[in-house]
Amino acid sequence: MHQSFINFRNYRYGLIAGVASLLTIAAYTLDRPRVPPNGGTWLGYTLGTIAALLVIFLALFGIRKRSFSSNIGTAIGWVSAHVYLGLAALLIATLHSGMHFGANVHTVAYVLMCVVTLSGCWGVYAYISFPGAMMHQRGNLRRSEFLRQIAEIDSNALELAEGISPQITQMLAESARRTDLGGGNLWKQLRGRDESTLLMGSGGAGRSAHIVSNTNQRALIRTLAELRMGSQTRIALSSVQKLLELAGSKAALLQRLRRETQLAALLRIWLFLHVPMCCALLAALVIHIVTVFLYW
Amino acid sequence: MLICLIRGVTGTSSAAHQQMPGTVFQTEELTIGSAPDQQLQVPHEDVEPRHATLRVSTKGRVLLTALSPKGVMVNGRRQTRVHLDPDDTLQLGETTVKVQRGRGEYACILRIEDPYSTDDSQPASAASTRNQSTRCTISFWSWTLTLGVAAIFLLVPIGTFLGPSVRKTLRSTPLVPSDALWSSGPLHSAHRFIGNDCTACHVNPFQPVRNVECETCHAEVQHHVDVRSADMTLFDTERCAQCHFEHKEPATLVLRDPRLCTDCHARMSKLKTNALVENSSDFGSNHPEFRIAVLGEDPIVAPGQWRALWLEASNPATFKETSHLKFSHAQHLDPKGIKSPVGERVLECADCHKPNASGREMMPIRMEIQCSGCHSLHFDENDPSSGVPHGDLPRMYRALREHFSRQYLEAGSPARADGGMRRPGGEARQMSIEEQRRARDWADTESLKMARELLERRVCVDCHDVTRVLGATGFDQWKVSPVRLTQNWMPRARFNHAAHITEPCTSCHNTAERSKQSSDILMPGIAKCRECHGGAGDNSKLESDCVMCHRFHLPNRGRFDAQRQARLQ
Repeated sequence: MHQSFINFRNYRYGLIAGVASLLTIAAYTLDRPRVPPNGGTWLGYTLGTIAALLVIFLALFGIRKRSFSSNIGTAIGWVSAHVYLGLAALLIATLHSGMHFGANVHTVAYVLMCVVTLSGCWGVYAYISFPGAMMHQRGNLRRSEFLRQIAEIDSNALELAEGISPQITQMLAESARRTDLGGGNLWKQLRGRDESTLLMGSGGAGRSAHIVSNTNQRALIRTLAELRMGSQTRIALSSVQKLLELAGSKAALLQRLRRETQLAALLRIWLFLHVPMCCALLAALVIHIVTVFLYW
Repeated sequence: MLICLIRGVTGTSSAAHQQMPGTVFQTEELTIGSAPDQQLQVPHEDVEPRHATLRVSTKGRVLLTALSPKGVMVNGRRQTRVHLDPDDTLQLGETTVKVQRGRGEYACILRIEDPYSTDDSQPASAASTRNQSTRCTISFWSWTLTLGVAAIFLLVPIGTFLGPSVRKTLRSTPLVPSDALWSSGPLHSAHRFIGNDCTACHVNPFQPVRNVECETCHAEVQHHVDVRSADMTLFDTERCAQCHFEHKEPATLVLRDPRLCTDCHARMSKLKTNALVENSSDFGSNHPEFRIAVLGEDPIVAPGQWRALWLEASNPATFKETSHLKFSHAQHLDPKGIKSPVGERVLECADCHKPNASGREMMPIRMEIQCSGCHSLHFDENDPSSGVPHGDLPRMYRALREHFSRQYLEAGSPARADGGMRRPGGEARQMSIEEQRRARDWADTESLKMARELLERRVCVDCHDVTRVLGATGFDQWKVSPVRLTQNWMPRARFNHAAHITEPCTSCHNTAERSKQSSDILMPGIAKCRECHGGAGDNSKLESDCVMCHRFHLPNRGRFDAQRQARLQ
């Protein structure tokens, strides 16, 4: 069986986290503190200490995964432990709190922990499902090959257009330049909308150029189709026909590239929440511990 | 306004590129950027989606305004807003834009020169497929959030330690973070008036709240044991906050966990020799039988003084109340009724035992209130005003003497020489000294006779213990023992009658209807309570903890912080 961070060493960390969670739940259920359950009972202090150590261990993963030369465990083992122990840590911290929440730094630390854990859950889901979907979109092609294919189509189209007219050549050159490949900032990548445009009416004497939307190369295909209707010579007709075919395959390639880019962004976006919130959590955790004893 | 863009490619021999016709825009303002909807589009990672605008005035002047915070390179210098002259050169990524003097209908002509790319695999916009969130990186957000959390929750609130003025400002200014953000929960409503003045109780950092801080307000709170006794050593490490826990939900002033009591009370016999209280750990399973205390006199310690004396339930000879009242509950609760001024009347408990205003305890029984309706103190059936006062023998004798003196004076007295008759219209004759003495003797004799009648045969003796004083004569020969009805039978426990109002009295005081002696103890035992009340964790009964009936702070034990008290003295 393929070994992933989920089933690493026969679910070793899953079992450890599961047993730790069950022990914690049992201790919380059986414990009968003299005060209402809270972080200040002996069980509360114990669970709090365990949860704090776990959070530090989980945060160390951020350092371990960047040090490729490190021999402290395998990278996949660290991911496996990070995922399972992270889930256990949230449970332990919840029971540590005794379900007391309010407008204070302690609850802020807990909420941050929830956000970090939930974003981590999204990350686990993304890492399990998106790489396969991305492979499916790319069809075993590297991104650079995608881009080269698109560039080839563009240059083929330009060559064909040179045989027709400078206006068509210019329109196709502008169309290639104004093609939206799905990149840009994270929000644009996530949205995955084709914002390609086409410059219409360029080169016409006395006419002002204007920009129209060219989503899925629709404007280009429509313009070429109109051109084909008006084509007089056989050569021109076949060239325009070829241009139409090229535009169609470019549109298909672009759609796959855009979806692939979108998935790649989804695969990364949660880290924008997970890592900064984790840093904030570490700060809140230190403040939580210090202030609890500052005003004992 | 027409602006003409002419594209060319530097360093290429391609005729097609060189023959490209110009693009004309009818516009006031030309947009420049990497986004596809820009009129002059330059796809390059150094060019912002909306990078700059170019405005041509009616006089033909060309104004370049950079929208990118980095500005635009004009003639090799970074500019944010500049008027362009002919032959000026803009650098946008790798693309060069040359400004040419406007000709004919064109207000401005821009010659755009893209570098000729030999690598066909990299189309111009390839760079934009990579993540380009350069300004909002993960590390930027990490630092921002971490420092933000540190500032809001630690660095600003810790200013409260800088001095009273800073502390006051921080705590009183809305939306400014203060040390209130460190509070782990709300205060009990009784302590809410303290507000967010954390340092009112948390005086020393990193130290638990001390008793001294509590006693600032609660100075008179009494201890559990006599503060002058050696038992005080058992409480050396006790803190108020062990039982009075704040900032927790549900907020409570008194923790009710039985272990706070049973830590000591389950092993009292080990903690103390000759402990007065027995070991107890749970009401349901391990609690001694109730001990009854009655009012009595300790002839050795304090003769003549009434005080609560504990009774031993194991000794029937002494397990009784000595109230000096003759009373039969059975007789008064006779279901057939009892004689009363209005005929036979069936009495109920509540006819005599009335709760006080709170309903918790019963009001004391008073002759004047509960008894006098039936038990009249009249001694002369012919004279309705002939009653004697209650509770005071000298006053009773005076009342008797007054009664018989008046009778002598008013006539009809057999002792009077003239038979008490006075001729109509005749003047009242002044009594001679002899006659006065005779009148007094007669009244005294009659009064004494009546007193004996009341004290030894009827009225007083019906209810009271009346004894003869040896060797005494006259009015001094009788002594009525004072009645002492026990009000608080279990002084160490609290009982709320109001909370048990749904139960009939005889449900607990079940021997009352058969009790013929006032010495009978009618208090229920622990078994009766256990019919409904269970110990900790008892799910079938009312779970009853120690503080449901008992208190920690007991009256007259001395102030809780004895050390502080000693210091004050």
